[in-house]
Amino acid sequence: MPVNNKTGEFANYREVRNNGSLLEAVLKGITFPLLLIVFWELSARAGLVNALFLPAPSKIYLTLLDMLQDGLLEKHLFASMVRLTYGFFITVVIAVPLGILVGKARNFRFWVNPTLSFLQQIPPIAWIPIFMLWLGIEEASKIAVIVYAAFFPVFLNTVQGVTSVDPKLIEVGRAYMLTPLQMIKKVYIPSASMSIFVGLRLGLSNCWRALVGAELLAASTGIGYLIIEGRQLLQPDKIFVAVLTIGVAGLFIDICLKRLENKLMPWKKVYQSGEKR
Amino acid sequence: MSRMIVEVNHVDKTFHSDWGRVEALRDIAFGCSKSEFISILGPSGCGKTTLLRIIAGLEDPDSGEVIFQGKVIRGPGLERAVVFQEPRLFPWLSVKENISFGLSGKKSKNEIDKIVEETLDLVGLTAFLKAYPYELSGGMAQRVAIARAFAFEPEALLLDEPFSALDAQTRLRLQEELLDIWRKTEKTIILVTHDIEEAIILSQRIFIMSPSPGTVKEILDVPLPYPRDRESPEFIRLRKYIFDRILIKT
Ligand SMILES: Nc1ncnc2c1ncn2[C@@H]1O[C@H](COP(=O)(O)OP(=O)(O)OP(=O)(O)O)[C@@H](O)[C@H]1O
Ligand SMILES: [Mg+2]
Repeated sequence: MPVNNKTGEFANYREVRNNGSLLEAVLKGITFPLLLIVFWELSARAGLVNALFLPAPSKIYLTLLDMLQDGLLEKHLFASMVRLTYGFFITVVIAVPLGILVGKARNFRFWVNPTLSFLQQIPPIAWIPIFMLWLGIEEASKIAVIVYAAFFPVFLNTVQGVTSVDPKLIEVGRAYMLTPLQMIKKVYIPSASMSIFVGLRLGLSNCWRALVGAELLAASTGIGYLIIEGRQLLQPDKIFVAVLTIGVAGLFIDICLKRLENKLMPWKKVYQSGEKR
Repeated sequence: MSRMIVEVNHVDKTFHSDWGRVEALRDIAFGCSKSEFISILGPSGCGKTTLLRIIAGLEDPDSGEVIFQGKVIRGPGLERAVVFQEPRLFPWLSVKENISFGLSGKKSKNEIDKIVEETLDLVGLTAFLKAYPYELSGGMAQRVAIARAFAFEPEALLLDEPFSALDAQTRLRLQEELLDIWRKTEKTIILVTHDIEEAIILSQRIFIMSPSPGTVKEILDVPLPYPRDRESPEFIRLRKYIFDRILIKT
């Protein structure tokens, strides 16, 4: 089992796909939000809620259009995405090779695991002030937070994937005289790729959370900053646009990764259902 | 002894587990000359796989040694290809990639394509070049594993019950193919099996093993000419003889 608290969600997704068409799944999934929005809009129209605290969905929608029109939303979203890309890229470059190394050299685990378990307990946000102290309030400190946030899921799942490679397949590699490097490339990485991908998806969503957190604390651009600005200017509609954008962008990123995963690993479906050969 | 391609010299192997020890092999000694086809025959658990793995270099003997082409075996080698008891295909590789698994970096692309084509034709799976292992039946997967070993172009083929998962017709066909290939390529073949007929049909000598501890109880020449007739009186006599030998517990 990959180190993964998302397997539940994964399983549901597969279940839905099995029980009916995609359309049906989408319809079911969208019902609750739709009802909520209608209810919300109606209560706002009826004057049941204070618009200063909870603007009506229609108002939020208009603000969204406004912000799209003058490019405000795009600008901040872009700023966040750039950070995310840098941070995530750096994480992958560090965490995957390190994970493979640690997973392969079994003894190495005993040296690093306690430290990592400790570090894992500390939420990335807690490091922001320190990172700012060390790296300044510019991009570097935010990217550091993202790297920290994504490192653990990516690293741990890579280690997990590498240590759970089927020894029988490793033996085939041995019998067919693979060099150590070929062994990693042709046996360990593909075998661990499913677990690595779980880590990547988890890492990316962690990145996203940590990034918004960092931007809330200190930034002059980015989606998180948009929220702060909305609060300072007492524009709750702006806050809501930003919050919803965070959710949608997160979902979008996850779906892209899932797509990529299915494309890269066509054999995955069956392998996952436990039929190994 | 110098004509011998494989020499097994007094090999012992004992496995220790939490629940006790199993003496898998005791004082195994035999030779196998170049281009010879031998079978190792015995009941389940008598150490056939263990012996084959030691010859393959995947397992070290506790004492004794195996000499291949004059050199003591220290690990797996290019001259020996194994077909395991299970297919052991890589689920993320297509049939083609599985077969060329041991070749990349050692041969050119064109050569690999040619070898893959030939070996797939040999096992009758040409249409499945691009299929993934999950799209194959168990028997088909095993045939791909056999193709993978052939593609490796070794001096000696080490086969661990390669046909036991196949249906009767496919098994017969592949046995014939194997004989054909053997006579064409003159490779040395060591076949592990528990199928008496298979051993008689295919091999020049049969090593009958008995369990706990695993020992070679008898080495039997099969003096019949190829292709062999399952209906012939010699064949039937030999089969009965081996059957009785395996049943006797000594
Ligand atoms: N890695 C291992 N650890 C412990 N015991 C083992 C191991 N491998 C084999 N054995 C034991 O050694 C004995 C011989 O096993 P082996 O796999 O060689 O039998 P076999 O003749 O190939 O049987 P089969 O026809 O069922 O494949 C068995 O009793 C088995 O329990
Ligand atoms: Mg066996």
